[in-house]
Amino acid sequence: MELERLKDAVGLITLSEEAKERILNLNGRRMQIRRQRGRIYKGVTAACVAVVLLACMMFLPAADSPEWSVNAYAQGTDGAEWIRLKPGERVLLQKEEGKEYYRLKIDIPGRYWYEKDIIILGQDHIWVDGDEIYWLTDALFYTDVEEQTGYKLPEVMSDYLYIKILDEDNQITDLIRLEVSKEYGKCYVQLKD
Amino acid sequence: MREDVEEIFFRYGNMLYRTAVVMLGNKSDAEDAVQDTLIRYMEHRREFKDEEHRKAWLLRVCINLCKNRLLFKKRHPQIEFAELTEYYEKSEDGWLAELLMRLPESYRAVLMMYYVMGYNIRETARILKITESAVKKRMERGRNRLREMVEKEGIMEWNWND
Repeated sequence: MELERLKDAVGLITLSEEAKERILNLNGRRMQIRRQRGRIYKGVTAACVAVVLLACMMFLPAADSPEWSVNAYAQGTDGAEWIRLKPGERVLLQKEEGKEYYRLKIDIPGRYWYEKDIIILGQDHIWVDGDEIYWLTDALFYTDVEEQTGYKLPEVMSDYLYIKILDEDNQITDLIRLEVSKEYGKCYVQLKD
Repeated sequence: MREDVEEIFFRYGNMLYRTAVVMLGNKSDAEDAVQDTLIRYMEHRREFKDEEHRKAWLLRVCINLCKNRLLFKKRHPQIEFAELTEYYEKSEDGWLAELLMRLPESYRAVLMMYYVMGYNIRETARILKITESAVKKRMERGRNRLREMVEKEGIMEWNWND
């Protein structure tokens, strides 16, 4: 059987004495393998630590998030809904069904006070009533102010509503800065950082 | 840690080395593969059922280490077959060994186990952890590929009636 010649051909391959000596010097190679494994373990450990740190970074802000919240009835991804405002996020306000005004709800467990409780934004009237904020458009003039006075209202307007949160000693512990803005007839609100 | 590593090396060293040389086509890589196999053996804590189990385990570990090295060599090609010709006095045997080494790794391992180590199909399948039908297919394809190469090279006469 010709393929049996493979056995003869390969059988001629034998270890030389030098090779035997080199192979049996296992300690050096073992140290090398250990070092390689050590590097791998260090890499894996570093990656695990990085993942844990990243997870902590992701969850810590949630742990530090304030107890208070500002909620607005606004345009969400599935249509109009109550949305808890996140710092920096700007939302387009929507009117609740059957309501003539926009509405925001403040949920602050402790004591707080508004630095100002009324804002006039062009013809719009924004005011505070307890833990709710109302925004009535075209509230000040029932006839068009531009026709009456010749004054052209700007297309883009904004103002700030400040809410100061107090502790038991009436010391300010937190400040909520809420930007209300009107752009081309649309009303927006943004919780500032 | 095992104390009998030297004894094992003297018993199976050449067998492991031949396997590694055929698989890798490179002497120094083959020596490293044998050395790594012995280190794996030293660190292996489970007992072997019998001597045949130990031998099959060593072969499987050696082949797996060679496969790892082949993966590395794919990225860093370094064919050094020329250095192996020192083993051959008869040129035909040298060519045969070289053609075997040119086969794809999966065919090479099966032909090596069957024709050189003398394992049957079932044993080859167990050692390489593949099915018996896979062994048969690889063996047939490996033989065909080897025949094509022999015919193409035209170096030696070959009786294919076996």
